[in-house]
Amino acid sequence: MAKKISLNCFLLFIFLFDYSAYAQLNENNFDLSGVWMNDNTLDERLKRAGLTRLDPNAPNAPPPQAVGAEILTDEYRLIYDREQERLSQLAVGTAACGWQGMPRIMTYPYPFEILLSPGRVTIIYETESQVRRVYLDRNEHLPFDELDPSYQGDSIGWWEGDTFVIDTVGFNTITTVGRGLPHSEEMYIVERWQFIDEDTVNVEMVISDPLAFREPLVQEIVYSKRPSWRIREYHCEENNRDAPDEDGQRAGGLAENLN
Amino acid sequence: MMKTFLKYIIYFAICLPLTSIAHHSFEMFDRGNPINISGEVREFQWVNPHTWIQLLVTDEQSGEVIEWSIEGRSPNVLVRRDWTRNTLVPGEKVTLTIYPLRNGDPGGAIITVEKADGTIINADTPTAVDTAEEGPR
Repeated sequence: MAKKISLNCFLLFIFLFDYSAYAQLNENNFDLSGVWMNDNTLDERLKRAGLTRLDPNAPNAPPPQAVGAEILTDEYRLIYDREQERLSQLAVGTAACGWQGMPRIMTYPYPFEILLSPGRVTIIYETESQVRRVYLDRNEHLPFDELDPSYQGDSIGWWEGDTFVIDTVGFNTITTVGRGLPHSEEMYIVERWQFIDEDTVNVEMVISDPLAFREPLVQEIVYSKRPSWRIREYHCEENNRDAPDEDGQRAGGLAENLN
Repeated sequence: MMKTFLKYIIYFAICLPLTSIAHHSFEMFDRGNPINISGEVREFQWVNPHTWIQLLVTDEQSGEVIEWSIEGRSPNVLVRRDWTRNTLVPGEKVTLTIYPLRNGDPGGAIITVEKADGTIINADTPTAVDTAEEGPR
């Protein structure tokens, strides 16, 4: 009996110890858990600045400044150009399926859900049901032998005040960072998830790649919580009628190709 | 306030180029010339990555029935705008406002659905909103 009690006490101690690793994470008890949605529409940005479209102080949206191939090193510019040449052979509107991986998964227009458990922050994306695991219980990345190149990489995280910081390395080269820009296995990403209020977070991502980029890419995206949403499935292969066929056309785009 | 706003504008300028609409571009659709087509729903494909309305359209002069394939946003997006898998059912008569395919094939991107009772449902296609915005698609 005494043995059982001591075991229970031990387990309770372990539980409390582990719990403290994520319960007391930040100064204001901001809660990462829940469903979050990319919230970067013009209206939302104006609202955060205290403006509306009708406000005479509100300027029109600026023309997009394309962060493009000019940031690539010569070697990766060649890779980019070859891929663009290949894509130009396909019909407009064709789209193959695949995992976006980091960092593109963060800009995809579907929500994600964050779960907290001892020593771990888990991000489950609606897009392709991709999952990122951020480890709070170690402060070093996996050793090279174990760092297999992957879509999401190896992430470790920690709190700095009200900002959750994620450091990620170990990517494969199947993905792009967006706009077709390729990257190397040396890419590393530092995310700073800064709470604006309890339901809103601004994520600054600094994407560095000593082989592929002349300078780091910086992007900032605001996400807000959607308590009433549930994460659904989104698998692109389910019915992708826009996949390119052998001739580079949209294979299943029209009715006569249906059956 | 202005400073804060400009800060977000800068974010916008940085973020936009790295953001894309889900799945594929809508360049193949003629966004300058929306058209209406009326017919009978053969099938409503409530699936990812995009929904499809298969619409049987009868040519008034020849009597020939042509099946149109009308592409819409994913169920994930539409369900958060109050669509369901039963928003369109086989056999019902509807009028669709679409951006037709530029190449003249019987296809397009859905803008709105007008039901038989006159109810109009917005399909919220990216091309139907301010495309200078990124964000939910």
